[in-house]
Amino acid sequence: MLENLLLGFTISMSLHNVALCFLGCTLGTVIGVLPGLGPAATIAMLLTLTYKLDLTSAIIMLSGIYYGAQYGGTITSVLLKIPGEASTVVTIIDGYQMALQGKAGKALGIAAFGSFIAGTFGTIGLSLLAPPLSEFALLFGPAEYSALMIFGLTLVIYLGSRSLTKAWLMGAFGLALATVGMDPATTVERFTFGSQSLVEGINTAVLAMGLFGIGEILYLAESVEARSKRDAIRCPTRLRELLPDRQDWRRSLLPISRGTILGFFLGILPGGGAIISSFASYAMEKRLSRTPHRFGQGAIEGVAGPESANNSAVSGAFIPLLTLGIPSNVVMALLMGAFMLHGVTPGSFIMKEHSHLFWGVITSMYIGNVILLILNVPLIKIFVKIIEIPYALLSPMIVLICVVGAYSLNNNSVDVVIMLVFGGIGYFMRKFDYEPAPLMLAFVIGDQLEKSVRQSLVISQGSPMIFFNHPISMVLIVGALLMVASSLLKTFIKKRKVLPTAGSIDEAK
Amino acid sequence: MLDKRNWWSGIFFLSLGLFLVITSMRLSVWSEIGPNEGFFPLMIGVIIIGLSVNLIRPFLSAQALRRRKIESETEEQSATPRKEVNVFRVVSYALLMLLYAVSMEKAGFLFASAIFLLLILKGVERQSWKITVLVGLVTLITSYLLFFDFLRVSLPRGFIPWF
Repeated sequence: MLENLLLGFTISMSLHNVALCFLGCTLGTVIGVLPGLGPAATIAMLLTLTYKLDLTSAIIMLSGIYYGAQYGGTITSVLLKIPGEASTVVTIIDGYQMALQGKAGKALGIAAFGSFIAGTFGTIGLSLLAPPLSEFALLFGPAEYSALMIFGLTLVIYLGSRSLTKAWLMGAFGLALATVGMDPATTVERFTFGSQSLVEGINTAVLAMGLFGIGEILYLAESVEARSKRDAIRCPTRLRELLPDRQDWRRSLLPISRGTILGFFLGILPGGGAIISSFASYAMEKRLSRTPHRFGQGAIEGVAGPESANNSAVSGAFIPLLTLGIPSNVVMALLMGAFMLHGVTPGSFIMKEHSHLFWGVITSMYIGNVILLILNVPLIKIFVKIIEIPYALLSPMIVLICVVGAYSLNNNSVDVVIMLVFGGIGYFMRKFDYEPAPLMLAFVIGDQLEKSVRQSLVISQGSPMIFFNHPISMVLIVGALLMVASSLLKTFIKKRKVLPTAGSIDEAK
Repeated sequence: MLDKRNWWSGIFFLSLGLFLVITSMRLSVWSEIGPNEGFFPLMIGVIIIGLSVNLIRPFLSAQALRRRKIESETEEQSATPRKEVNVFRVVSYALLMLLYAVSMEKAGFLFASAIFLLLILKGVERQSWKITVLVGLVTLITSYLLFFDFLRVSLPRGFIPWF
């Protein structure tokens, strides 16, 4: 093992590969900052470059883009409430609130350090556990995926801080939005209203930018008080004061550790495991916290856990690709394309027959995490200045960025209009006291949930018992039911204490 | 205290749920081999109807109707100051963003962006001409260099001839 790691470092630490890693991380960070552009589109554009580079160098650069984009997405989530990536949506909940309190530097700092720690441990986990963990991914069939997604849906309970009914309504609304488009099994169009643009469904980036970014702009356009508060934010000037202090670290260490482990294992699972990991980490931290009321108000744990989870999930996502040749998401599929362009098919033999490639890529992830930390921490002082720009000047720029992001998806202005419609929905959601995070979670997993449930019911010829006959599926569903039951019970007990009796209403008369 | 917003949003979601159920029933819900395209939206529609009824229910009970009468009498007496809202600004933003989106393909990204920035900064945010021109130019130049030159994002060029 040590020999393999040393072999990997001699390959990844060559000047050529470090430079490419640096380029990938920088490009990835820029791409991640710009919502809608995404690492997938950038990697697709640069795929032909792999002809000019050797495969190891190409994968090192493309991987750098992928995890650089995770951090880039965090920057806009914290500073502007625009999620650069689907996995950074959760960071908005507390990260943006921290920015409104003048603590943007702490949020970005803990995200950078947490991502570094998680990425480092994720890389170690990848190198030690790749072969046995790849078998873990194979245990998941349609029933297990359905149960995992259902379990994931119960996390909406923890994403909303107010009414449970409203949180579930948002979840259900998100699932409904996920059904828009052509049904993949029967090719029947659902809820497209004759629009060709909706045939492929609603794009996640369009939904996220609309709900969060445009919704926030409209809300701050309307509310004089909120706009004044926003413009009054001032961040500390010294880097030392900007970054997390001892208390922040004390609060964040356990969430970082838990998020790392959770994200790593969920990242292995194909189809949204990495996105669920950030939501799951947030829910877990809120559940375990002694002061859950702080979540949603700028709790640093709400940034530390999810950011570590999504970075660790990146390492986990490489496992099925490198060991089984199964890409767990679009980016991994593109990386697989890069492998195949060079005549290498990823799979179980890659560790033996292309050990320099395998260990070179793994060790480059560690280098990439160091580069991201060195690149971004000193820049925090510059990033936080964005929050001090008067919102009257910043909001049109945010609109421009969102418009470019939405348009660039399909070179179609209909996507921009759809984003604005969701912006209006996000604005009214705010007015009517609904939170968008449960909607986003449900939307993201809705597609996979429907596919898995339908496949499972086809396999079982319509019998729902399939979910209880598979052990993993049963455990997850029972766990989900217990979570729902416990929160319903808590709500019921709370209502009984709060509700006035008939006598007291008559007395009030 | 009963929040009127819950009543209106409950009505909205009830309508949405009914729409989903009715539309799904027109699709195929089940076939010989298992669920079809109408199955999932139907289930979601039923769930939304149930949840929205739960949201509206407190408003429909006799106790609630009495409580609301007391609350509206109390509200008139206490007269809580309303939060200041700038309706002009939010409506202007909504309309200008929509105009920006629909005109971008014909007018081109840069031209449409220039008009949008001008109208928002000067017309809505009431900034000085100096700030409007400075911020507008910086934003446009940066956008051009970043999106067109560096990232080669395909954005509409419109009728500007030198692109």
